[in-house]
Amino acid sequence: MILYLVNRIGQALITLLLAVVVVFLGVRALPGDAATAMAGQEGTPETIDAIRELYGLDQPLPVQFVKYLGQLLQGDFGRSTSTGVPVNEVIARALPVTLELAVLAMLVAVAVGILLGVVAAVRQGKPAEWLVNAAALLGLSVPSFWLGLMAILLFSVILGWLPASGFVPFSEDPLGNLEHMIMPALILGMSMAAVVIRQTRAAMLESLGADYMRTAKAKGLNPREVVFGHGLRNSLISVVTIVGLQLGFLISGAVVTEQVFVIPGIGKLTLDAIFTRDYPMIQGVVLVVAAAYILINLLTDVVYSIIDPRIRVRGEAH
Amino acid sequence: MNVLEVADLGVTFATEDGPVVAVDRLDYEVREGEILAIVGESGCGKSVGVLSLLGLQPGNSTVSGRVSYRGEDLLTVSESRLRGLRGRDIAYIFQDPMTALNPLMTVGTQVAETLRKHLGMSKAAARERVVELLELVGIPAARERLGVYPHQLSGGMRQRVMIAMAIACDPKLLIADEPTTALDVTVQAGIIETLKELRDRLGMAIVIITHDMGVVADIADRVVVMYAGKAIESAPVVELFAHPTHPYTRGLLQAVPQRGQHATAHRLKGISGNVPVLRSTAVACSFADRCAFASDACRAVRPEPAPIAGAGHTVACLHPQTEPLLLQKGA
Repeated sequence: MILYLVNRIGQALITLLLAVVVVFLGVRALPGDAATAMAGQEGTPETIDAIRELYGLDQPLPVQFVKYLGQLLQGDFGRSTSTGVPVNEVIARALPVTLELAVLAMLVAVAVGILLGVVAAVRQGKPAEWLVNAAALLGLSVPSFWLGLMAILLFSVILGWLPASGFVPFSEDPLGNLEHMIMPALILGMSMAAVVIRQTRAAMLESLGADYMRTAKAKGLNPREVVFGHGLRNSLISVVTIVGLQLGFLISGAVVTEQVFVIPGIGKLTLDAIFTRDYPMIQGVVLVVAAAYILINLLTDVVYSIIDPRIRVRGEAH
Repeated sequence: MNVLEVADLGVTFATEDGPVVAVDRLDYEVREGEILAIVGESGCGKSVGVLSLLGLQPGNSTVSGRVSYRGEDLLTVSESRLRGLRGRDIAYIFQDPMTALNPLMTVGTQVAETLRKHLGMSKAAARERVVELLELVGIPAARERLGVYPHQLSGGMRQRVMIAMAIACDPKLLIADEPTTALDVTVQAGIIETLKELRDRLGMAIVIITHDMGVVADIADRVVVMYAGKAIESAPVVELFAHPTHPYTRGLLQAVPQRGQHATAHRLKGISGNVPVLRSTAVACSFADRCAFASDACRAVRPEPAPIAGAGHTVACLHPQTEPLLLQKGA
């Protein structure tokens, strides 16, 4: 198990380094000269040269890269060109917000998705399955921004139960924080639950036909013990895969949802940075999101190996 | 005293092409402590027939008839009563131990599950009992194997785990559905030996399903030969091998390679054709189309099992063959 972990962490670090290279080259490959863009429309050749020197853009690429890497290792992502605030401070403020939203949404998606997915599989061919399938299809096809607007209309405008938008940090006002987060988390969670439902259903249908399920039944276990004790765990691998992918997607910012509910997370930050051509900010955000993806992938693999002992052994055999 | 009496058992599958009769008015009984072999080729309804005894048959099938376990009709009792019997009074061993064991659970947990379910044992007590059980079925270093997963064991060891699981609650009846088919020949003998020993020590009855006449000769006290969902011949094992009477039984025995038989001198005799697919309960002899002795009567009347000479020997055939079967012996 430890060997497997070390192996996977090594792989993750290499991937992260590659991500840094890609981000570094990507920003420099953007059309137009960064220094010119920063100097703005009134920039004189002297200002542009000064900026170029200030950011080390006049030096050869390898030198720039080593310096950039050195800064990164010290946690220095540079300063926002639009506000002058250090990028890492801005990200440090936005990331927890997005993480909270992502985790809450994921909890909703996993709880609702796995339960309904199991129901759909166990009740195959019965009304319950059609109902769940219809709900999943609806969840997949209705855009979340529309669902969000409708929810705001119902719960904030008509019923007045929840605030329509905005954000309060959990540390300042836990209850207020939840009040603001519950609607976006539910909306996001619902559309993701649809994917989890379909994945769980498909995986469960496969498990239900397996020989070990018949063995479990032949032991005298009741249907609940058979389905949840033996079937579900064997279906979880593919469900975890989907959840991992979705979580990564969420970290990169539920851009639309954050925009609709005016939540100051990574998604909104990215969008604002792109609008203001804030290169250091974009670079920082992309890097953080890439790191989050890699971390989630790593976690997914660890969860795999916890669920399925056969994966553990394969990893150790290397 | 019979542990199990199966009478007029029918299992019909609803398929897209209409109903398929897998078990067709099957009768047999199992005596206490005896090993009964049910023999027949693939697709003749052997497995479904025993799965349906405790409601384990696939969902698209309907079961009819009477299955009496110590006087209780298993086809009419409640689902919760069936759950109480499964694994406690009647236990199963399945064909492929690779797929029949849960790949994500340790061997110890899987065996302990039965004990905890039926006997309400504590975790620690169940653990100790599992060690005893694993030792009983011939697994060396049993205590160290508790935390092992099925994929870390060989096929034979896995099947021994299945057996340990099945005998955990000391069942009255053990149903082994092709328990050696998925195993290496060298391992098969060991499993058969273990089953026999367990019967002797624990006194349970065993129904073993197989298509292998060698296994039958090794283990069985009595044999039921099945064809197309019906019992066509049944007899004590010695009697059956000495006087096989139904043309199908004789065909099965002739299809077994004999020691010293050379492929160049004697081709093995197969039985031409396949087991027919029945759409409804048979009104004629299902074997007639593959039988060398079939007459018009065979295609008009369904032969019912009738006793013939020889203790406990019955056969369902209009043209029972009585002359000794010439099993071709090599030089």
